[in-house]
Amino acid sequence: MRAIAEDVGGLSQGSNAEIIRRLLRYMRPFNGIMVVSLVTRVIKFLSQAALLGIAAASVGIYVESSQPGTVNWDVIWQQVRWIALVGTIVGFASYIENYTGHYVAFRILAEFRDKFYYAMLPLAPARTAKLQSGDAVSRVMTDCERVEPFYAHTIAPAVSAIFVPIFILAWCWTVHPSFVWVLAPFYLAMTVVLPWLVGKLGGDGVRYREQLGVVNAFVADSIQGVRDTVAFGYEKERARSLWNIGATMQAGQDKLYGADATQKALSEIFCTVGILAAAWWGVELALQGAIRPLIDLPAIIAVSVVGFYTSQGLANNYTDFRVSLIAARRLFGMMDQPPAVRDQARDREVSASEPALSFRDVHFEYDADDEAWSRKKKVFDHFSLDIPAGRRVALVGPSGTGKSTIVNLLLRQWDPQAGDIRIGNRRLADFPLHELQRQFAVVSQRSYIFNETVRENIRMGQYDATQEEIEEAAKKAGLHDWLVAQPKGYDTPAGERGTSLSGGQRQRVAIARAILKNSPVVLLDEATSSLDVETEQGVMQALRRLCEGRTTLTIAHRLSTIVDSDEILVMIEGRIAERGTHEQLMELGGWYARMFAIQQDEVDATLKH
Amino acid sequence: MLGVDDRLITPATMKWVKVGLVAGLASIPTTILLYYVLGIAVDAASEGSNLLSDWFFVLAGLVLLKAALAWIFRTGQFRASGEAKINVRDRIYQQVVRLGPGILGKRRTGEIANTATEGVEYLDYYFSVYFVQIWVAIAIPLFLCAAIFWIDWVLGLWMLAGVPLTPLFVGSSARGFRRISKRNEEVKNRNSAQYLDSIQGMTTLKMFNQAERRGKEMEDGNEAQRRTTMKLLLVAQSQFVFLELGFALFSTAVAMGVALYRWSGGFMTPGECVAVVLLSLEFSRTLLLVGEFFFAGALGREVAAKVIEFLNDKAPILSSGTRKSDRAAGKPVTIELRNVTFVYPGAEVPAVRDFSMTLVPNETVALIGRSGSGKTTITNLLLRTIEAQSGDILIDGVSARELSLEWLREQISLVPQDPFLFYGTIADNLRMAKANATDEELVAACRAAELYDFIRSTPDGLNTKVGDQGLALSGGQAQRLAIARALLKGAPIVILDEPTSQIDVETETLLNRALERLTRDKTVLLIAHRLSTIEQADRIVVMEGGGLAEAGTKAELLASGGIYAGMIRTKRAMESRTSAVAPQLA
Repeated sequence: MRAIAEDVGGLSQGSNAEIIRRLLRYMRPFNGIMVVSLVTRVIKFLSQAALLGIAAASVGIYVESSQPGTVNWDVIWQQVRWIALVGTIVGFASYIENYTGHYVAFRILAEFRDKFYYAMLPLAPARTAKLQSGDAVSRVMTDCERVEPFYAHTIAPAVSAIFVPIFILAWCWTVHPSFVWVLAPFYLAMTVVLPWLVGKLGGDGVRYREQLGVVNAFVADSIQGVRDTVAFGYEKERARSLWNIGATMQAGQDKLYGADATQKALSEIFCTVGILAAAWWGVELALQGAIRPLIDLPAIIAVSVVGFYTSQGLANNYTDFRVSLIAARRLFGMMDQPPAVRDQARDREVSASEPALSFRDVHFEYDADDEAWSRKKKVFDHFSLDIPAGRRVALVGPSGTGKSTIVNLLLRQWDPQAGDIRIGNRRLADFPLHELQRQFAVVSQRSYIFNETVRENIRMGQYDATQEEIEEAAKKAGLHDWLVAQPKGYDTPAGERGTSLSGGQRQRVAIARAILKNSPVVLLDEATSSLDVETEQGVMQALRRLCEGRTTLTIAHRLSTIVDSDEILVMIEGRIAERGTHEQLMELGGWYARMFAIQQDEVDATLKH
Repeated sequence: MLGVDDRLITPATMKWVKVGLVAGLASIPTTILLYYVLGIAVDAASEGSNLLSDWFFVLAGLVLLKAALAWIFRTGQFRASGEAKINVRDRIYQQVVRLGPGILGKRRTGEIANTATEGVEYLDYYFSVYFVQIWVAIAIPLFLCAAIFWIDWVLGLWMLAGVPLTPLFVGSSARGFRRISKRNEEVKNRNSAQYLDSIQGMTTLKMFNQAERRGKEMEDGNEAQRRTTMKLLLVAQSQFVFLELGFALFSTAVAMGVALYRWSGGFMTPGECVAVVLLSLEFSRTLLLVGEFFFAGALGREVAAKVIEFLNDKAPILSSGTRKSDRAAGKPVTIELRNVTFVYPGAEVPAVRDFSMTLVPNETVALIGRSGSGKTTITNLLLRTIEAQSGDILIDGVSARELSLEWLREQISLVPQDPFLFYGTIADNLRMAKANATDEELVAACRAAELYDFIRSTPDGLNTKVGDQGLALSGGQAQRLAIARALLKGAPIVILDEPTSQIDVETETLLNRALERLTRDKTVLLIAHRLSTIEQADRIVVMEGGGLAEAGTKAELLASGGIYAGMIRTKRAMESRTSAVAPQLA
């Protein structure tokens, strides 16, 4: 729950300009539509300015063409028609702008997510281990959404804040050139000086995000640890710390938002003084007779009012913009990690190799490049192991001694720092990755079941399988009878992470999937550990069918499930400590014999009714 | 005044909300004044004077006032949300503690943690946008009408006709928005769920060479859904346009037309007409504010509703006695559970049913049963994180209801099977048992828990950071840290959920030694997972389906031929079967 994104990938370095350039690259396919959105936006603001300008100028037009005491309806209607015409343009421009703006934003958001998915693919699972939790993923998705304002609410206001004043200044030039010199400094202050100043005042917000990460981690930790907290009467202390840490963060937040408040105040000053300056100079010119006091002067005032509104729009989105850059930084940070494993195979197709596995002098540690002592985990040092083709081998031992690492290395989810791992006589690295995946069928403790139908989940094993093949696999996995008894049959939904299925059914789906895949090597990583003893018996049957005639490596916690393996390897602290059949190991009287006795002692195993 | 649950608001929040509101409302007349001055400056110009020069100081003051109000408005907003967020986090945590681990369970704590972290951030919008801006938005047309009424009452009445447009707009855009947002939400949820599924299951997808295919599928899904969303937007936004159009046309055109008509009647000056035209622009500001309100506020409202719902969860009512037992501190204790029945809220079947059991001083009682038989509920009942619906728990003969909760919990050390270690140092995690423990005490506890050798081997010793939920420690080390914590607390009652066998043999020896030190001279409730540990207990209690199945000493239970005797039989059978495997395979 800690600031996960930072943990996974850290922040992308590089200047804001680089991040912006990178974000803009995603927009490239939609540049055309974006331009439409921008043009209509500029049109919208200009027509708004025109609308108010016309209305204001109408005063003079009317006064000059009418006598007090008689109502000149013709002029009034004429001016109203003008306003209606311009107003219609405002409406349609606003509609097109909104529509195209949303179009681009939705498209890019989807695009961005897709790109993120593909970027994460080569990184899984070595660099994404922490993304396995739903919390972490939803956080990443929030970040994806936070990038959206960059496209939806930053580009358009920024561009219109530049172009609208230019057009407005151009119009003012036609009224009297000197207005440009009066108004330009204020527009410049609004669009250039103010954002720069706010950036200086508020910092880039990274520190605030970091603090927020700390607070969130603390909150999550407090809530999840509530049992131990209550048991130790620690809750008051914890609540106090929670409050303090929140207050500390607020101080950081004050800086960010304080800058925002300052920006609001300054923009108010620039706008109001700008409007007043335009009006003052307009009055001076009117007094000199250079412009018409009741037509040009009101129009100038009205147009500059609308012009400054536009500039304020940009400033108001500035905080959103900064937040989106921070989110982008985090996502890029994740996407830019070097993959733990690279596809280096030269031949794209490889001939079948004998399904024998061998490890030769393998040296491996997780996070070898991590500087934090506590995260480095050395697993293997000169580790060697041979599993002949067709042999059923079990791997047992205390938890955390590298059993699952063997599976991870075989699947090339990680690469060892040194040594050689082979299938038959071909090095793993010589397999193209997709070929390598074909060599193994894996059933693990918590096999991932997708939120799809059971059929779709089984089909993962071989996507073009026929219904008959799917049913065949389901039968072997002991799933068929149950499935056909369901109202939806094979289309029974599995639920989120397979939660609509029982633990036993989930494992059977995983087994059916593995059967359908028909790989020469089967890896069972604690395939039945999460099941209760009775369910385990049934699933074991299915597993036996899966393993028939294949090289099998079984990692198990309950020793009673592996007694009939061809060979049992006991792994302790990254080396094979004992090796032999069940009987040989029992006779040896080592860890295995000891553990076997302990497990027969377990309440769960003996509690039967 | 705000129509919102009091629990989300502290006086400090309220104060800042009011500050923001006052500043927001006060800024409206300043804008009106500005436009009015511009209008009469036009009049003055046509009469040959520059009013703006004459009024220089007044205008300078107005500029500063506007700036100050803008600053205060924004500051009020973020101060309010800042205060509120701290308060809401605290409320959520207090509620978590009140509900306690017994009611919450593991899954829900994860969800709540998410709301209390990411979710609370969205309250920003709630407090800054929802609370303040809506009032300002409502006030703007009223202020404007009042001002125009003062300039010319006929025009004022005309403009008043436009005021209902605001609620009209609010209503219709709200409906439109709700429709889009609901649809959008469904789409988003579906997409998100699939995306989440794909990222979480990415390793599996890769293993089956399905990752690319899945990616394509998601792209297609995204595209199809985007199309439908856009179609909806196409329709729903047309409403927006007509309203925006109508609004601009109405306010500006009416202001202009009627003003000119009134000028003809000699009721208004040209400058006043200009001022009114400028003011008509301000009517549309309401639209901007309301738009922001709907888009951003919706998120905040959602979170607020979620928080309120959680805060409304009924906490178990723990009658808070103040009594403390008069027994000398540290002396062994007698615990009695008398006909205790407990049903989880919403559940039909009681988790514990008419359960009675007694632990006398220095006795170790083993509690066994399959998972779901009610063992954990007994632990929660003893810690009083839940309250039995009927029956009573007595400590030294005093009903737990009369005892102070704090005192009661001081009497119990809990060693769970999966201890939760907080992110922080080893020392931090130990000190939660005794805040003022000296380093020497910590070392002594670690020695007794057989953890000290490990601690010495780390570069930072007691200050070694324990990773995310104790990730950097092995299971055995985390267990022993939990034991050290319990030793430090030194409570007379120990509730021990025995660790299972997924540890190596050496660790087990260390663990057993540590446990022995912890349970010496204590009243111990042992939730046992091994027959050999059970054998060391003074008495055995077997639970089944929340009730007491059998109880007694080992000899008594063996003689009675019940569940425990059956377990022993099964074990013997397993032993003889495995010893029979050898000849079969050979």
